[in-house]
Amino acid sequence: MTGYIISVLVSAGIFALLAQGLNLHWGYTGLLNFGVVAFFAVGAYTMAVLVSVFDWPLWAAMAAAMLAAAVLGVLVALPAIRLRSDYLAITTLAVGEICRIVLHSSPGVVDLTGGPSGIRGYSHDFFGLRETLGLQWMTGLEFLMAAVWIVVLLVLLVVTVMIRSPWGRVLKGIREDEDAMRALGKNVVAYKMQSFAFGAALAGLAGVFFALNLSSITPEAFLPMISIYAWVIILIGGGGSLLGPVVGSVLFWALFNATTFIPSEWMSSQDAAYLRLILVGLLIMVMVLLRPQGLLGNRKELLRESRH
Amino acid sequence: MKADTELATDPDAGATAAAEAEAFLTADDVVMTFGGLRAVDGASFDAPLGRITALIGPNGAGKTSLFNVISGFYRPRSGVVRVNGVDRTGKPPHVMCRHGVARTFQLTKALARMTVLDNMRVAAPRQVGEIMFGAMLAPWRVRAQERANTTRADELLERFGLTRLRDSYAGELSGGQRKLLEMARALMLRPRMLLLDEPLAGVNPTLGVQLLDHVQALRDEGMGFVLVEHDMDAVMRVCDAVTVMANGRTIARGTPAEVQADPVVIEAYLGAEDD
Amino acid sequence: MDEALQLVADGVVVAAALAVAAVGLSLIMSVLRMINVAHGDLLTVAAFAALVCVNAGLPLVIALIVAAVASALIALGLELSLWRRMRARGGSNFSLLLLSVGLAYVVRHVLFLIFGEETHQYAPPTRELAIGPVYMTREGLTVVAGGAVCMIGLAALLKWTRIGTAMRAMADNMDLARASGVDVARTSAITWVIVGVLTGVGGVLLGIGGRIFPNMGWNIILLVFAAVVLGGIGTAAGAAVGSLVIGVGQELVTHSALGLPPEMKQAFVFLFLVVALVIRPQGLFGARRYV
Ligand SMILES: Nc1ncnc2c1ncn2[C@@H]1O[C@H](COP(=O)(O)OP(=O)(O)OP(=O)(O)O)[C@@H](O)[C@H]1O
Ligand SMILES: [Mg+2]
Repeated sequence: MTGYIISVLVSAGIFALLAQGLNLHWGYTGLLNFGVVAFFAVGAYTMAVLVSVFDWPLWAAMAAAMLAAAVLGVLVALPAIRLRSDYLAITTLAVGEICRIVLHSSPGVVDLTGGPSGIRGYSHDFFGLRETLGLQWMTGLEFLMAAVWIVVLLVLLVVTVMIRSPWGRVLKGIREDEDAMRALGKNVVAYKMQSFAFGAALAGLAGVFFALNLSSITPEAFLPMISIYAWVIILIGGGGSLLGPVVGSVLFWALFNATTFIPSEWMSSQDAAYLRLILVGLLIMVMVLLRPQGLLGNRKELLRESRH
Repeated sequence: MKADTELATDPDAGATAAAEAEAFLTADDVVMTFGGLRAVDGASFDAPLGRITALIGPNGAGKTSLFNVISGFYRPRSGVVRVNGVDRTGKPPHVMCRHGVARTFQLTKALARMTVLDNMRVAAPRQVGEIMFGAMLAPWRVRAQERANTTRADELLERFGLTRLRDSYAGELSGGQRKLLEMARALMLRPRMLLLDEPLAGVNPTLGVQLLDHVQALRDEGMGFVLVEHDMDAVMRVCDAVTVMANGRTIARGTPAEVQADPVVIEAYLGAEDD
Repeated sequence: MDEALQLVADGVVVAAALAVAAVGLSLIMSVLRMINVAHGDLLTVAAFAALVCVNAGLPLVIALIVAAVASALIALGLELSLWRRMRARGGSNFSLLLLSVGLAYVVRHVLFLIFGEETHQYAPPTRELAIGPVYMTREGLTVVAGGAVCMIGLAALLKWTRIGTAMRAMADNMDLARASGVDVARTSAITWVIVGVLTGVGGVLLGIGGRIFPNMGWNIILLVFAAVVLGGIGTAAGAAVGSLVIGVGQELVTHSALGLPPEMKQAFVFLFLVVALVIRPQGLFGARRYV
């Protein structure tokens, strides 16, 4: 049981960061990003490559991972941000796949990423910190859990301050009506780029912890499924609510990992995995049909949908 | 000769002089098309500060399209838009806004899932807190600005009779209340020229009268207005000058009385009603 | 040169199946303004429906018909139970898109649960025939012929039948169509039936040309989007041209002269999709909304 709780909390923390990034894009700025996995992957790989190939210290590699994800965010947004929202969704979905394929088999890139066999040996520094800090009484996983959740809370604090500031208000305005904001003298494209880069950096940070939770990362760990998980979490928690991604993530992983309790006489672990994904799909459908504002979302904030 | 040297040594003075000579906002021979349809087909008009200029014309005349060109939402095929004597044709809306030209929309654009107060405050120009990380780097300045903007927003809401709705979501307002909110919000920008696209449509008559009183008061303080409106009584009562559009062209301009008597204008309106 | 020609021929086979898949997605996007992410997985369902028939000893032609009918019924059922209800409640295009993402996950993993991970074929592949300088299998030729029949049939239906006219009217301007007497609910339902049949045939053609496995539809959904976007939404010709560009293009980038690993070919197609969306969202060919 404690094993279950810790594994849920580790995953939930990582995905709370990822979903917070998506929350900035979708929940606060109205940008339909179906490719957060691209930034997640770039964050994970940047950290892993810098630490294991170039021997960078962990903290520097982490900062570089966030920066790399943000830069990719700007590069994607530069041409794509003006697209109709559903086309932006397809474009970002494709960008996620391009990233994965490039990490898997692009000449030049695979020399660093190890291609399909992946990359390993980047997490000693992180788990070494445990001794440095005198926290040997914790298991490695517990240490990771603690670290992730400290970061989740810090990010929550930063995002809360930013969203409640006039900057966040402009983003919400853009989500509501771009043209109105343009008429009010706001440079909408610039704000969308900022939101996109910031959310991408958070997704990159999530990717760092995702990699630390695995002894090695391969491109197959970054399927479009990851983006979908982030969406489900936002749907559960409610887009445009600060705590939504955190609560949504915990509920999602509690439910997702609960399928490990299915006795193996009933169902093979492979079938249980399929069942889990059916559950993910059903969850999306139920949330869209019954509670489109999410569990924490505000009913009143839905007025717009009912009017159109 | 003397004017020439003045222009060369002090371009700013030249611009101001030019602006005094011609109007603050001018549109010259503007053409704007949707595919094959020439929505604006060579329209010209000007609007000085301290005046309310009406822009009238039958439905589909191209008034809204012309607004969209002036405010930078659409790029014209040809023609020139000048603000304060400087060519600003095709500049994006946020730039036009910075040059003092603001607008409202015929179909209101309330920010539905934000409160009325936030609808107002978001419009305030030059906020330090709107810079990314601004609120973290200069929290005190942001807070001071925020207080000032809230005070101003509350004043305007009071003026427009929206104080009661201050903390409601804008999506909950009625059509008329949205019109009022939109105008109040545009005033947060402290524009020098405000383009109003049918501000009275859907507003109840008593409020409508009050709204026009505000417009006249602001005009007397020196602001300029362009008013698109179908309510002729209102137009004739408050406007200083009238420009008439039909089929994308400006067909007449003058004082309300002159325009009302112009046979071309009467023809245009009757012709439109025949369709 | 021979290598290039062979790659073009392979690409044409891919394109034929892709076109049938793409035109269904495209019709729904234009007539109902919905992006159906589950489209790929519904193709897979049809391919498996035919597989079940073939395994039961039925000839492939009968299996194709069964798959088309089943697929049409599923499409109609979903319209009546899900999409219509969502639209009636004022759900945005975005909530329809999300709903279809959920549906895609459910459908695909139910297939995994039933059929497992193995790949299947309708019949062992036949010997390759030399046609001029290139080699093609009988299956490949069947796919090209089937694809051509579907595309021409659909183009004719859109152009000359009353329902085709109604669909074009809705694609053009929903409100205007309603105002001029188009029965929107009925036209939507029939559109789904037509798309269902196309999905059924498309899925089976994909199965004939390649292999049948639960991820087959999902794996190509982005290619299908790419074809639709390139060709322009809502036209049979557009879907065909878009599919040819995608199908042939992705084979050609594997040409040995370029020295790229074959796995990279999809990355190029996606890149092409992104570029196409960014520079010409209304499609490289064909007008924006007209059929
Ligand atoms: N987005 C658009 N796409 C295509 N045509 C348009 C569009 N907007 C307006 N039009 C057309 O351009 C012409 C001018 O329209 P516009 O809205 O500028 O007129 P208007 O004078 O504001 O009319 P109203 O008094 O009804 O508001 C009309 O024929 C209209 O149908
Ligand atoms: Mg108008």
